[in-house]
Amino acid sequence: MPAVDHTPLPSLALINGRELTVSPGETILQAARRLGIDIPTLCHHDRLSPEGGCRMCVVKCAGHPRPLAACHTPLEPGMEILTHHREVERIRKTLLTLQLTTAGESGLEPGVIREGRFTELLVSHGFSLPRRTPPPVKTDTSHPYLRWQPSACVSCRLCLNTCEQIAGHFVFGMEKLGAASRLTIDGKAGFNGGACSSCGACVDVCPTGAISDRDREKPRNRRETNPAPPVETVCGYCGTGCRMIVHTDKRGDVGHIDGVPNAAVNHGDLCVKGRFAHGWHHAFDRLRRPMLRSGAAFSAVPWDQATALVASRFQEIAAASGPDSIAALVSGRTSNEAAYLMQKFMRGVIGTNNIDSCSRLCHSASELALSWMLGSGSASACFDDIELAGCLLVFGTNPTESHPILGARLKQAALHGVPLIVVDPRRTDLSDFATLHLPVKPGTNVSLINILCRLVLEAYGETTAAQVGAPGLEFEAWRDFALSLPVPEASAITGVQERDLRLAARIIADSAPLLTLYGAGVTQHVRGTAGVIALANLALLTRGLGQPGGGLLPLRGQNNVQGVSDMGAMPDHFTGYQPIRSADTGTRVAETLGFNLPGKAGLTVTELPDAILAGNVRALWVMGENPLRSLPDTAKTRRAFEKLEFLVVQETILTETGKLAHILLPAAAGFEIEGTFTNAERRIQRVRPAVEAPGEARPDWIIISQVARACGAHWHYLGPEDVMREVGRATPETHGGVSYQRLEQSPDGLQWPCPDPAHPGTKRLHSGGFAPGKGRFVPIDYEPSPDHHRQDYPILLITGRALEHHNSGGMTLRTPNQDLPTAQGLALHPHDAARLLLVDGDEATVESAQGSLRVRVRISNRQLPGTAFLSIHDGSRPANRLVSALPDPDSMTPQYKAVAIKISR
Amino acid sequence: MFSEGSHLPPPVHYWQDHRGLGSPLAVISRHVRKHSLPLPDRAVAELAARTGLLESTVRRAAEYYRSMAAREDHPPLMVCQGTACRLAGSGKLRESLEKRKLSCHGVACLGYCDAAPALLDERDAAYTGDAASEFDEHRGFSQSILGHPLPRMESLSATPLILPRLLQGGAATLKEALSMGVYEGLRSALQQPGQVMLDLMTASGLSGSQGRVAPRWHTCAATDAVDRYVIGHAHAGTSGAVVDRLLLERDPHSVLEGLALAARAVGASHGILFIPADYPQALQQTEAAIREATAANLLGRNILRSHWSFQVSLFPGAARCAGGEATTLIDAIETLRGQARPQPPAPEVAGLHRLPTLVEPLETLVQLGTLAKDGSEAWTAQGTAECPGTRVFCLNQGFAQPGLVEVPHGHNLRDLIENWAGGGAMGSPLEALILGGLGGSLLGPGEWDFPLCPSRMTASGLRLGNGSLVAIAQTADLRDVLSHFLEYMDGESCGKCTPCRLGPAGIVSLAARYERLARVDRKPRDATRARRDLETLFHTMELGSLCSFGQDLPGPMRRFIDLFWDRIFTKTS
Ligand code: SF4
Ligand code: SF4
Ligand code: SF4
Ligand code: FES
Repeated sequence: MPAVDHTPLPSLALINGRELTVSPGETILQAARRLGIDIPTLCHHDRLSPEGGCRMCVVKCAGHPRPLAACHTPLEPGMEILTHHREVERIRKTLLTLQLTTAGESGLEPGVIREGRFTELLVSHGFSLPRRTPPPVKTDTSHPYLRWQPSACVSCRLCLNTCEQIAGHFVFGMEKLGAASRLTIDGKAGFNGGACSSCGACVDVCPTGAISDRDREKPRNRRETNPAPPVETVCGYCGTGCRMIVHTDKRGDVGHIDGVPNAAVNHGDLCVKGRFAHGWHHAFDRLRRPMLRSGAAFSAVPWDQATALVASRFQEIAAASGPDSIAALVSGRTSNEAAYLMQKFMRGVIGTNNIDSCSRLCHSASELALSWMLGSGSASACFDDIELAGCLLVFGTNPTESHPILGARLKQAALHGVPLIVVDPRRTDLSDFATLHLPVKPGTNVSLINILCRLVLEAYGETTAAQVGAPGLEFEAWRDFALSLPVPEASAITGVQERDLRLAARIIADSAPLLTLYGAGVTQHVRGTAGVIALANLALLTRGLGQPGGGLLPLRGQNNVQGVSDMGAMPDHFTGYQPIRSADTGTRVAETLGFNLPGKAGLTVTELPDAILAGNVRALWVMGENPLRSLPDTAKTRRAFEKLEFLVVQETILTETGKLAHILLPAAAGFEIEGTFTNAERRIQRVRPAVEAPGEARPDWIIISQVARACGAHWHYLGPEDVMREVGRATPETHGGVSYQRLEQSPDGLQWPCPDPAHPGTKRLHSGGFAPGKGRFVPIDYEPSPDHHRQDYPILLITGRALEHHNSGGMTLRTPNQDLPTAQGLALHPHDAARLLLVDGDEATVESAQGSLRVRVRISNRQLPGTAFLSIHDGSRPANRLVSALPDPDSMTPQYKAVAIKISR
Repeated sequence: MFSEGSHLPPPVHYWQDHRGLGSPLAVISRHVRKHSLPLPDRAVAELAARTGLLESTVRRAAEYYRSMAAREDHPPLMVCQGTACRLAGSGKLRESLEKRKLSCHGVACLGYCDAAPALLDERDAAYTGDAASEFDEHRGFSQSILGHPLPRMESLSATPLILPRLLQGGAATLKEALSMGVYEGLRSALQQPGQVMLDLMTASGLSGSQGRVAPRWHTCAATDAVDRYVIGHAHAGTSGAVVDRLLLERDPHSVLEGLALAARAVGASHGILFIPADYPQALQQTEAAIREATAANLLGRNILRSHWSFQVSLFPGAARCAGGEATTLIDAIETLRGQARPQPPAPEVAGLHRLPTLVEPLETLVQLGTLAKDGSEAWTAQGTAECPGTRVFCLNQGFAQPGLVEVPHGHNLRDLIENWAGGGAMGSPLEALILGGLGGSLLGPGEWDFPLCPSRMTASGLRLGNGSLVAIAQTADLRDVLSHFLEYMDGESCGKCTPCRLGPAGIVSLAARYERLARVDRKPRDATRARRDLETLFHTMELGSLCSFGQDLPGPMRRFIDLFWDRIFTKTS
């Protein structure tokens, strides 16, 4: 018998005597975990590159003179590892002893450390818990949310690495050397210093509670002793759709919020809004009871009376002036189910297509252009394409502020070497990390994209239709058009240097696939639809549509603005973008839902004020919107709304619009409802109630159902689940396979189209080619905007949002977010400011053809000369007072992003 | 992902020379030396405009240089706290200066070990020996030693490879350098592919303190990457920086040529000189040399009309970076933090900005010109089989005849001490020697009989370190030496890993316990236990530390304590 050979096979290694196959690049720590062996760590985190500082993970390896750190040493064939050898155990204990006994030098005060990962290490190594002592220095509470207690810091740098490698900010530093070394926060400025985005990611990882937050440091009587299990739901702020876990406190209020660790969208991360800005749910001024207006005052009425009144007033007005004299407006914050019911109510019960949503104000240009050219109006790509992209084009959006989690993912991709091109008139946070920043003059996007197309075509050399892909319809004609565009002229129009244009094209041509993310900077223009068309041409040309890492990703603003459009809250489309003029849609609606679809397209929200002023619309139901703040030309909008005979406002709080209402219906808010939200990558995710709605506030879907029943409709939904089932029947192509049961099983939701219960959902549209007749190139030329070259209003104003706040600010301004340092005021380039003799902090008058505003001036060299920026959140100075009501004739989206203004002292 | 040969513009890093104005960081470090922190907004804006850096980066850089910053707009005196100076009483000197309300910034080795102690005044003028000990801020200038005399220098090799130009008085200007044949090697290397230089390196067997250098170069050249870096760094360790200082002040062009040749060999397009910010003279000379060489097209774009371009940036380092640990230097340049990074990957594989990076001491770099010009014979003809070539040793003022000496590898240590240096100063016998800095080897008098060859020494558990030799005389204050060990480790530890960060503090508290035990009548059992605890601590530091700094220091320290145990702890009682 041959002797037994005990040396492991070439590709094998031993850990604690157990054999395993080595996989290249795997660390000892990862390999040990595979065997279920736990090696203690302090400074390690799976999502961060190994820090190697705490040395708790040392293991013994036969034949090696010194122990190896398991967290950063790759397991190699032939290694024989002992994870708990006496020698390494002694080292671990000595290390912990050092931490505990050198307090004088290191500044650590063991008695201040909060129970958590560090104390677990102590206990598992046979130490007793340090007796609790009051901290020698006061906890720094100067930030509205974040808390800093230096004496609990064990210098693991998990916060630092998380901030840099995940959040993409560079807030932390280390000062001094040896035992005197200390963590510093934004130099010495602290969390309030400006570099921190208050995302709270560092709080999540800190093992000792040195960095903590307001929600975790609550006074004793508000501690989370609620026995109810935490609830998994979806953030109600932006269109990213982060999944979160809401913990509640003793009183049943929101306690603290965590990200869902492995969520597909956010991998456990959240931004300041998602994690912290939840206080408004319990704001004292939430609407709690239905309120009826009498004269200038409101008085509470019972629900029965309220619904009956709404029903009867609508019926009266419809009877007198026809159903088209009634209109409804849906917000992008409501659930899919509520949006569906609202449009069904308008179409099936009232009998009008006068239904629209705030999507009109941001992305209807996308819906229009993309469905026309490509066959679907939604994002072709998904968020996971960000990490797969060959080149990232970020156009007219500032995701680090508007979609922070996506912004962080983009920044990390750029830091890992994916070429990033940022097109934005302003220098944004992301543009500092970009390979190339093209500061385009507002309103000239079409020219810029067209010329990029031309230069990419040239870079490709002889490009034929065949190369562009089979369905490159009408390619030749478009190519000839693109090649005829002169580069110098485009450079003059856009204000971008020729050299940069060429470089951008070169990068795009060299690094396929191209993923384009764009935002309201493209759509909120008079030529918004044209801008999207041009971007779609570029996407077709670069052949990324439907490919992993390529395609188009319009970034939708609100949490469910995508879903609200999907649900048919549009004057010309039924669910799933079925055109109402099509006979097929009518037949299907009649067959499945049993009513006749009104044939005439309804009014868009942009047309509404005029229609009201003309007397064509007499009653309006506004659900969750604040048009007095969001619509352009505030003065006219107000006049129109004051003229309405019957205004129903269904809201969580009293808004400017609500003050004009004849009846106020109190609605349940994001954490109080059951339903689904659809994010910007078409992902339908489950929303669950975590806290109770205040007073008598009710979920939107119940309110609508009750009004419908009061109008005599036979609606009997058992719950939102039932509604979703009906959506599936009415929209089998996209939602046929969506059910709550499936959403329960796959917590990351389903990306539509999902036609049947066995379908896994669709990550990318067009991956199997385009629908017949779609995928076509459309030559579209640049035209100057009416706001360009105006002698009387020489400066172009861009309006937009800031990280800390959300839209009109109704939610965030009811939270401590209002105390965050936000860049408010009118941002101006130093040159313009100097010309106008303005200095930082001066008050100035901004005037456009629409109206004027007094604002404080903020000088910023991140601004392109000749432009100004104003954030939209400040209610006392509504930026939209300046915006013209003249919209994009195709999408009816107003031009929020290039308003001609003049500034005077 | 982008591939090789793509048209992406290479990223411009903050530490690169902006607008051709020289090192932005040199500008900031000089400013910080003269002005207190935090800088007012206006100064930040001005510096940003001058250097082309973002304001936030200017702020961060200013913080980085905090330790040398002026206090109330008075630049602190830089008082050398290197081992040589400490033994010459610089610890007491600093205390007395501080008592006179003069602010001091302690520096580990200003590079005047042969004439210790040393200090730089607020105008950066150097004072050494008695002039330093009797420093008088009111007398100022007249007393200082501007143009400090060269130390005694000699070569025991017939063909010196490191010091040849210094032995002839140095070549600070380009004209002098050219007349001594500097850049001829570069000129000839440009005619040939970089591989030739790499082969020459292999053939020569050129060795540093870790043995042969060429294998690392091969790894660097063979790693697949779009670009590479070479970093030349001055000064590693607690003493013996004399040679680095002199090379930068008086032979900077050889350093630059060497940097370019190393880059040529491995295919790097950018070089960085990491020079401690508290070598003001050296910094200035090097900056001038880079300017001159660039103007003469010996650096920069299309060098000497070839197709090869190579750019050099200067990085003034604030902290000593864990005795010059390579990953620490890299981290300092990349993040202005200067913390060790785990290996693998070795810097040659993924270093600065994740690109393959060669980190070489100046002593290696200055040899490359000759290698490129004359071939490898001068190396193979001297030294040992394992480590061909020579090495410079720097002997401190504790020897009868201190100075710099270049010897072939393999030279006997005792011979060097007794014959070349003439034993201890003033004829007093030596207690011990520190070879290669505090992280090197501590040698009792009976332990000097071995050949100075890095490879053979490593085999017998000794370390050559940076080649400095410090004499510990019988009269030395041994307690002060122990505090020096601890202060040095604590003051230079990057602070990243627990054993190295907190170990010295742990030793201090254990030592205090000892002392109590030694004073109060001892219970032998307690003393044994305390000593065992100390051993556990050394053990944890040696085995547990992340980088070589923390791994190397405990050895000599333990040896020191073992040797002088009684004398350290019983004297005071
Ligand atoms: S809250 Fe976020 S941005 Fe701020 S320091 Fe922590 S991780 Fe960085
Ligand atoms: S604050 Fe927390 S996470 Fe950051 S270094 Fe200290 S202990 Fe680690
Ligand atoms: S990124 Fe958007 S969805 Fe995610 S937490 Fe922030 S606001 Fe909520
Ligand atoms: S977990 Fe490996 S060093 Fe901290």
